[in-house]
Amino acid sequence: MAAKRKVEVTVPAEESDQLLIRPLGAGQEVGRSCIILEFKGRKIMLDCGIHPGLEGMDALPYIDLIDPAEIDLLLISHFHLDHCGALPWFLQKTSFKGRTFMTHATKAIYRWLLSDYVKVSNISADDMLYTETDLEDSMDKIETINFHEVKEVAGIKFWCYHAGHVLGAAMFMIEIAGVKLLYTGDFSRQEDRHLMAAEIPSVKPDILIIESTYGTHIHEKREEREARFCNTVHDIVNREGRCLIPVFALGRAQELLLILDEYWQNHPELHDIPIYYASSLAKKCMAVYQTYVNAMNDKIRKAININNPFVFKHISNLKSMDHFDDIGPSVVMASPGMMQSGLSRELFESWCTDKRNGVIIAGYCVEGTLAKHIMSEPEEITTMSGQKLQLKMSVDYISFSAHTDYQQTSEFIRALKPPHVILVHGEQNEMARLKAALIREYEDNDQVHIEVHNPRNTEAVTLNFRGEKLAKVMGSLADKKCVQGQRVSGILVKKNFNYHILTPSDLSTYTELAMSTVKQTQAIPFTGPYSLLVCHLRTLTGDVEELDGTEKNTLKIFKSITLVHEVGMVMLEWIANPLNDMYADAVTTVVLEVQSNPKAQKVMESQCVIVDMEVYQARLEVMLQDMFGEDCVEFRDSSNLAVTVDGKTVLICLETRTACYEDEGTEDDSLKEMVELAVQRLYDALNPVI
Amino acid sequence: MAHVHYKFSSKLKYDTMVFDGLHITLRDLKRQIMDREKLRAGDCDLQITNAQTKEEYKDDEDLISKNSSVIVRRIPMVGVKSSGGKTSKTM
Repeated sequence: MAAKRKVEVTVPAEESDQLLIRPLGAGQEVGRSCIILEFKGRKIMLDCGIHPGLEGMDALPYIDLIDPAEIDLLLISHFHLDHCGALPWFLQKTSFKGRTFMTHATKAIYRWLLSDYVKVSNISADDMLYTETDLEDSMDKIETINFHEVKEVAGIKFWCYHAGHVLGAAMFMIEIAGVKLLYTGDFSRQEDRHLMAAEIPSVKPDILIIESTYGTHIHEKREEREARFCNTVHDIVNREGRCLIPVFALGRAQELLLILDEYWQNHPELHDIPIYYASSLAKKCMAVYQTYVNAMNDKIRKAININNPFVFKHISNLKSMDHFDDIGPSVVMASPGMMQSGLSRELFESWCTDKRNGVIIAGYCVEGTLAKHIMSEPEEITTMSGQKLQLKMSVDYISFSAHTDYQQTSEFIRALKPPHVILVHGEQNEMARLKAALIREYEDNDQVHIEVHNPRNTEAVTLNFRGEKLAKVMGSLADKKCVQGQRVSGILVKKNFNYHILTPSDLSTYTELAMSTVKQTQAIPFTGPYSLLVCHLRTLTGDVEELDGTEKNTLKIFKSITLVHEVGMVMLEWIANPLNDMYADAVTTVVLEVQSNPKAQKVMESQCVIVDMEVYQARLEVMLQDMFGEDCVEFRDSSNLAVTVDGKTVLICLETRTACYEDEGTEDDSLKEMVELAVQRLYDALNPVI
Repeated sequence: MAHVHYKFSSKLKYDTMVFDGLHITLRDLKRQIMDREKLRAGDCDLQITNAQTKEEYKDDEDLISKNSSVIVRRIPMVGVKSSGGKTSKTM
């Protein structure tokens, strides 16, 4: 059971090395592309399409297996229904709150293509997944991106390349924590009349998610295909038939229009035969095509300067069936492409019984659609109303669907050599054949190792990426050249997946962080005598300094706490840090003690602080004599002592309490250390505690 | 008149299914939901879990008592080739 997994891991998702790819659609099938990518706690959805051969909720990808609210980023490759058909539903009817991106041309066409789909759908309003209003409302939530423009969302870096296939189609390169993944969407490495070929990225991805629509097939040459198409159309109209070409209003239709217009131009005998482009959206669609010329190839861009190649001389627009006078041979291009419903279906049903007529399927057909069904040349077909009709018209399949074939796919993978390849968007058998062929290609290659995966819907592919953790040392820490084994200490700043080590003072230069100091002020009510307080503070520590030049009595304690005596209270001020806070605590306690017991005995001033040197000297003499013997100790002068043991003499300076040998050359340090230690210890013992 | 409230995991709102009696079997509930939502594809199955206890109802004969709330998930049927729903399309 492909249930929603709640994996119990001790490693938090952010730090885990596990990368998960799960198709919710287009896994071993064509249609409803929707691939989930999870890495380092980030969740990305690639495409959100519907299955053209299914209706209603059935047509959706298996979205129930994820929580839409957890998706950070949604990327749409192009405007075909099987890649963005579920987008209005996903944006308006689920808890998704991440960001959505697509190219400019894709967004413009998405609007009209889906609008057409909603109108043309044969099912009742209740069963529709979304309405025109939902579609309109979804537009605001979609953001656009230019080709090669790098964007960053939630620590995910991404940019896109031209994919060919249709106008605005993109291949997305995604980078998370240094791991790169390329999602091709649908692509074609062959240039056509208005689109460029898919680019080969200059950056090599670690994972490639690639379409496998045509598996191991190899397309016929472009010139041959175009010739075959034109000849078939010519034959049909020559025998007084009607030629139906079902296509979606936008996409490959434009390529076919360019081909037909040129052919008609070169064949004056056909000028009486009308070509209709039946689409209520034709005007709007054409406007879009004329706007996004910079997403097309150089040829068209040059041609646009002379005259608009999308203004056709021999093709007229047909708004609906009512405007159509069905007398004599004609060529009609009508939507939808797979004839599930709409005008192309109506025309098909009215023409299919006449053997002079012909239908040319010019694109890829998904299982379950009428277009796919008639390719097997059945005797009869069932109409939308359930009637059965004889299929006598000719059926030709000439695919212009601009998908990659085996040659192109192989070349693409050879150029990138990604360690992992994930196949999506292909029928099960085609995909299996492609997988086998790719594995065979790299079987004997020792240098290149490529793993090919072809997950089913909802089946996950788990990959592990061990990233090296690199921290860059910047700023003043980097001034000195480092030596192996040297300790570097600073503050580790982590921004998304970059680590830097800086000194605190450099923080404001390299980051948005800044060091600040916190000053603490504490007011304590105090009504006792000031001198008593000072006295008690002096018992606490010798480090009490009276500051001159201030109007109120001010003390500096421990060199960091400022105490100001005000009327009725005492104000403490210090720069907050753990040490100073502790000092402040101690001072506060003294103040409070004095405050609560003002009649306490005034302690004699003289009892504190100064170590009586004479007392110290006398005690020191006694101690040293005890340690080494009475004869060994002698006073050289009032501040120097000498200790002689075994011929070695140590001179002790009482002021600094250091010891040194009289005879500089003496090697054994143990006597000197012993004496020095003893002298210091005695001094500390006699001193009040600091 | 007994009710069971169901919500698809990806959707935002609950819907209600009406039936007679104190319980409904898992099989009947699945069938009724699929009818109501017009899920006709032959390769799609539903995973039903109790909304409060998060426990999954596995057996077809399991009884779901009235007034329960359940979460429904569309999942591919295991072992069936995912095709384009040829069974239901009117050709």
